[in-house]
Amino acid sequence: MNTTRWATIKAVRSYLPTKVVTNTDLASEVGWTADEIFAKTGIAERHVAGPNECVSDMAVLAAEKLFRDCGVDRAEVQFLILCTQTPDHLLPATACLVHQRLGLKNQCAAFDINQGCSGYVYSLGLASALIRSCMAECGLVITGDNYTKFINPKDRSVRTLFGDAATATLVRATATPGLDHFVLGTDGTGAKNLIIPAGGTRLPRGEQTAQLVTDGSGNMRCQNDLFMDGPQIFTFTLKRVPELLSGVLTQSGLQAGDIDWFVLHQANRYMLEHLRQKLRIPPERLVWFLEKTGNTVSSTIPLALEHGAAEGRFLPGQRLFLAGFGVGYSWGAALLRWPEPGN
Amino acid sequence: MTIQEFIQAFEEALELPAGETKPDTLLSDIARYDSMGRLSVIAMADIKLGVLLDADGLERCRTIADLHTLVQKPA
Repeated sequence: MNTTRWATIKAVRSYLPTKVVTNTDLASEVGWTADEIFAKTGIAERHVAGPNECVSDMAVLAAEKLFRDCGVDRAEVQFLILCTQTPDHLLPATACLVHQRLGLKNQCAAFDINQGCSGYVYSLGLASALIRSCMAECGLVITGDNYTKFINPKDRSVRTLFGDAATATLVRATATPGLDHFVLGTDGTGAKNLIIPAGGTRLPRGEQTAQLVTDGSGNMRCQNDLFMDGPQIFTFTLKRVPELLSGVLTQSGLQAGDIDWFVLHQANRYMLEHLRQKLRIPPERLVWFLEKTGNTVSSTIPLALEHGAAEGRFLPGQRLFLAGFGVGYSWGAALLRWPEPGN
Repeated sequence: MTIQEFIQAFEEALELPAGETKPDTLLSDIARYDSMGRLSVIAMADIKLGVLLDADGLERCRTIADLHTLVQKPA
């Protein structure tokens, strides 16, 4: 690997749909009080995409904000990696639609990757590889999902957790350490535990897949809807996230105490707080950004970075441990040296 | 961990009134033993016993005693 050239994050911006669903809005539908929902999840409200609002629409708004706020010259953009599991169409790639609407040059690679909660780290890994191999100097990583379009209103196991969002991250080549020490992993045996079963070629949508079923906890869903087995996902997380941290520390030769900030996928408060205790992360070093957005899948880490940066929490040169984990199962982590200000 | 110690930890994890749970209590009779309740048991076993419970094994348990057996012999 090139040791005189790195990739780093220069700026992150986001778009959150205007419609907000509060716990009070959900209480009557899911059978928990607003306080109970907050106590269980740590989430007070989540943004929900409109009926005609697709990932490309959200992605363009996030990227335009990035260009506007950060003075990015779009002619510099040499690649666009768009991470989504809820694309506008089966084909073409949503990245191509976004590329056109952003007015990026034709000499710019654009492609989707289909990952969920690990997707931001995966996308940064690809961006880093493109830059460190000298295939590009500058690119965009966009995350966006609207899981809420696939959630049954009567399924409180997921209704209370997920929100919609898109984020855009500017990634550039740098001569000082930036993104490094990526650890990525996969275990497809967990595919059935977080899945939208119908709608692909394996099980096309039809009358049969629209049949509602009530589970043992009283949640209703059909095969067109998102299904999540919470206990299975929790067990997976407890097994793999400690391995992610130890993998990154081993690769980098660092100790946990050398990490300034831990930015983990914001699944829900219960899981995050348990991971914090298990990994012995000091409370003041764990970054939280969940209460106003819920679990936004691949967007939780960049949202946490955007807001931590806006609050001036991260200082140049500080080490951030980024870790995403979930649907697939898929997991990934990396270290990020927080960059100097400016593009 | 004895069955009594386990019951105490179980009641604390699910925020149940102390002393009401017996070894033969059916898990299906405990309203708080829902998806979130299962997470609480997995978390309790992880922190207190250093045991990573298998979620499939958890689903096979019918009683508190079954759960106690599972934490003694994790997958």
